[in-house]
Amino acid sequence: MPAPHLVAAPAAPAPLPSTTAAIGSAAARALLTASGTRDLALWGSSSMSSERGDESTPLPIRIHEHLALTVAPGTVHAHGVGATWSQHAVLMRGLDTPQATPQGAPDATTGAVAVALDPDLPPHGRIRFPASVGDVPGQIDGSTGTWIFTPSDASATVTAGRLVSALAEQTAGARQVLWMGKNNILDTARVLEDTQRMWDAAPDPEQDTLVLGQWATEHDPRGSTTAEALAAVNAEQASRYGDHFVDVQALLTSESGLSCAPLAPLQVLEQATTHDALAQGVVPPVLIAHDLIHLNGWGNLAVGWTLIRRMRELGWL
Amino acid sequence: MPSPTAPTPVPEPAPAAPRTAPAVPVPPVADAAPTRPLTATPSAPAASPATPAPTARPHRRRTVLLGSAAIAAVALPVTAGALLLQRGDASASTADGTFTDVGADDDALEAYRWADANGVQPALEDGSYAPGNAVTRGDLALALHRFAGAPAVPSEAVPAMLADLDTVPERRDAQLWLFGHAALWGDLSLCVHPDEPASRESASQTLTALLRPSLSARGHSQAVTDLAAADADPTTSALAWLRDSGLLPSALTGLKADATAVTRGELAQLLFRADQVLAGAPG
Repeated sequence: MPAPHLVAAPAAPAPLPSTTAAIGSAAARALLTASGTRDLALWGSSSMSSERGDESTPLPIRIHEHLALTVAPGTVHAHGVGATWSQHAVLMRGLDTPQATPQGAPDATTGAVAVALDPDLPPHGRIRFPASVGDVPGQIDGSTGTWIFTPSDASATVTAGRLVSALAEQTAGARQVLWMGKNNILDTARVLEDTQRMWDAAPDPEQDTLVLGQWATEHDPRGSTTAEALAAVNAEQASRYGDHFVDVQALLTSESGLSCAPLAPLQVLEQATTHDALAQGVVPPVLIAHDLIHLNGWGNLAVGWTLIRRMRELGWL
Repeated sequence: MPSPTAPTPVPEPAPAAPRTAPAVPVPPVADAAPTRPLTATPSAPAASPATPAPTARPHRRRTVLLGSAAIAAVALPVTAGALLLQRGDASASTADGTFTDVGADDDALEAYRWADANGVQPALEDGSYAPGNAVTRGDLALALHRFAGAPAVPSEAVPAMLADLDTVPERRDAQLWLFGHAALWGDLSLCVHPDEPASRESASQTLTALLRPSLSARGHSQAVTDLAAADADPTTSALAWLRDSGLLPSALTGLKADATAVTRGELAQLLFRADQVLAGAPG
């Protein structure tokens, strides 16, 4: 909020607690508090995981943590993983169930064994999630660059079988936010298809999903192949999903977006670097982490704030 | 999305005669009991007492944040249902709905009674209402949180994202709840300055930010699909929206969204009016 201008008034007698009754306005409770306790699942890559949210703001700002305050008493299932493609989100969601075949002998202590997937999907980033291979539950971990499956019971024998993510069951019934495909954005058809599959998998596809659009870094200047690809994906998704699509690029590159309430203290438009960035069609540096490819805490604050408002306007809260 | 329409104007009632009957009781909020098993992590801490509330409702643990993100899920006790507060021995001056410093013919008396009876902004211990006293930003947050029934907040389940939260749990939760609903935001230091007076400017912005999106969901306000454009001039748009939506009582329509401190009286009238408008709006 804007800095105050006045000195506080002298302290008044303490207020008296109210009578023993439900507090507040029944009408306000009905309007402002969720009647149910639906969870919220977040799927996507590093932007969804707020990877550099600890930069630039006095305190780290991570979108999933902000949303935990919003969705309560529901639970936020934060499944954004940096460096992943849209196909990884589909795999984690349990919509793709490739055949997993053990490669070599398992670890004598943990039972962990490398597996090959068919269709093949190379692991990216620190991807790991609970899953089963055939009838054997455990965890699949791709963070080393090789898929390793570790059974929950180290003595279990892992044989070839379908890899099925356990996250699908965990998030059943949840609404979802999708921010996926930036890392394979040049494969626009794949990104659109994977996002659509995630959309269709929601309990009520037309109501239960918000899709966040992609945003341009300095590596995606106006006229570049990535800029054109993300613009194409954004345009198609805006057309498909209407009010369930949040145009993050517009939020972070328009004068009105950059003047939104939580960013007002930054005076983004007053900074010279902002106008250079906007001329290139990319997000201003003041909202970008030092690695130049992720949003910092201020960027996350703007996206989170926008997301919450859209969720409220859709009646999710 | 339904076509946005202006809310049906709700006429203000004539000033009420002094009451002699007890305040109308507010129906209790249905207990938001969980319908599925609780989740707890192996590392969950032992149960600790929740914020004291004189209710027999059971406390329950809930994990509020799970997943691949590098956040440890923390199971915390969360009170179920709305916050209940218990009045101590009521003073005679408040028991019959009057206040020592508010005349029986005061046009705003009904608003003060409503705010006191519903716990949104109770009278003071000495039986006065002090309508002329300035409201702090923390007081404003508390009143708005109570207005919404003081829903539970997982305040200890997530890292701090505001730098100067109030240390009193109820006030802290109010500020976090507003932050979680995109109705409160910090300055460059992520400070919300809860002890400073709430200006009319900030109060109008906060109330608008709280009500407008939810009313939009019910088709009672202009749908804000272009969020940024609507906020291009926050001060003008917020107060104008409150006025156009009928949320400003007639006694306050001349207000300007400036740095003048909001008073207890103004806040009570504002929320009383909001309650009337919300109650009259179709769900």
